[in-house]
Amino acid sequence: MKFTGTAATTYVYDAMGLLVAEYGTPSAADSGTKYISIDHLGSTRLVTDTAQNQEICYDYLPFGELIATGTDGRSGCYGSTATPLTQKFTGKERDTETSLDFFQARYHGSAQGRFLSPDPLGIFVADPTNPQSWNQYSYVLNSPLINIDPSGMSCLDADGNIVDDKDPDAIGDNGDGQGCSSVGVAAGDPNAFETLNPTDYANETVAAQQGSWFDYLWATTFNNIPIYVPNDVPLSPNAQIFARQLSKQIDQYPTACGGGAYFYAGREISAGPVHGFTGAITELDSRAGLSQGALFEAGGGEGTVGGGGYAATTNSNGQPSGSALAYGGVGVSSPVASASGGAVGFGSGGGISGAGLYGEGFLFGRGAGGGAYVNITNIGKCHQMSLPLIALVLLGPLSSASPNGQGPLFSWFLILVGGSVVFTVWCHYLKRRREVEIPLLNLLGISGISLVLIVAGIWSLFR
Amino acid sequence: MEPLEQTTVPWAQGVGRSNRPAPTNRIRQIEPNLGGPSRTFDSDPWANEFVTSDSPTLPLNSFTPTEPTSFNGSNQLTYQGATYVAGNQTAIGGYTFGYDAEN
Repeated sequence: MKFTGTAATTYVYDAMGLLVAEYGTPSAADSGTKYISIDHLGSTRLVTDTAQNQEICYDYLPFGELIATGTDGRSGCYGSTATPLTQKFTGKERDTETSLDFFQARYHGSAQGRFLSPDPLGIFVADPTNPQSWNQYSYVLNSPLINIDPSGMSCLDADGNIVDDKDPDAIGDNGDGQGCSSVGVAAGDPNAFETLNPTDYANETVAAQQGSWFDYLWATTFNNIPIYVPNDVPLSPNAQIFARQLSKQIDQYPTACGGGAYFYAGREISAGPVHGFTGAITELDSRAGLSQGALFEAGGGEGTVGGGGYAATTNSNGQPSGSALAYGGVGVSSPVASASGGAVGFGSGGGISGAGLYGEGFLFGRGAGGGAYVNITNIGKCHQMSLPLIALVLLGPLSSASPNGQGPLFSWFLILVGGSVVFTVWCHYLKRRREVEIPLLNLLGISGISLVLIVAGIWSLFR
Repeated sequence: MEPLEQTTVPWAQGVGRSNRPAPTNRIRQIEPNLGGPSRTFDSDPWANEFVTSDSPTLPLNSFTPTEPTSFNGSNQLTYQGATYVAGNQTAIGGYTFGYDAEN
């Protein structure tokens, strides 16, 4: 609430700190409902009335300075005498006396292009590898066309991902191509600074109505329109950061995305319980279309079988692809024939992995097989390894191998221990090389689970 | 990975010689309309951004820094009579600012 003399103006914010209503004792010119159109940064660009008439327009320089009326042909609503809206650059309240923007944790001077106070979180949260984060007065790592700072303590890209000193691990290229230090501003870049044409927004309105939190979530989720809860207060800055981080985590959750079927044929070579296969494979994938190539496998077992391999294929567009796979199941064999079936997991490039079933049969060393699978996205380079590991876990209890007569359970634990160690070390390695973005909590969880499996494996060794 | 270059970094809080990524992807020029007025930016090695040139039709605000010497070793402004207390800017030009206990 702001007082000018005795006149009070109340500002209503949504949960993420964006202004949704402003009310008080209006002048005659301010009466009626106004609608706000914003740009990709949340900056107020156009105010319209209920008849879709343009009341006032704003254009900004990169750090938030208003471009004056008359500059480069700005006329009409740019020169409006209507009461200006207080919320301007990235939706932050601009003080009329000093032209400073209120970013909750501190003030920002658009003319200075920087904050007036250092980051309240302190220098210790800066990323040693990113000098842009060392300066405690700089605004959104000096990339104000693609990043925003909702709380005065954080830098979010256009996707709402934290890319600043609040999350040192996310500094730089966060993998989405829009991170603070990973995006250049080029001509034609939709994220670049641009002058909006007010006529483009003449027919756009923002609905404002009362409602509960359920209404808010329903409307923003399914109708994509902002609805506010009257007299509500925004979440605290830290809560907003948490909410965005939570949303980001949900977005990263693995998702089943299409699938396919495959058929392969070739020759099998056996040496006792060990088998090797080489042949041709044809695959029909919902994403990649029809692909053909070669399949190599090696494995073994009597009664229960398992192993791994690699498929190298090229689709109809000439794009090559490779998938590492692991399989496990049951089978029967004789000197002249064999058959098996079970589960298969694979990981390939582009953050896609999959899981499915297979079946195959051979006669006199020649045979064929096939199967079907489901693609799983958002796996990431690190998590790709989890599916072959799961296949190994499934394979373990079925294994008839029994070194030292200690039973299949012993073999299972050995597989678990080996797989867990490799998986954990691989994740830490990729994290250190910044090739994957794994939240620290997830990495600690992976390490913890692996530690439990290792202890269980050691226990099984001495039981 | 960004290329590394060897440089001397007198950090505000005191950091000596260090490896740092070459500055990339900071805003360097804007042209609100193609062929219209433009403004160019630069920054010192410590991420202090300043304006290097501008079109007459985009007049500079008197508080906008225009050269590297506009900043001191603590990354604070040193022109227009800018003063700081406990890191917070308390004055610039004809303005004075006060802060509460939280900041």
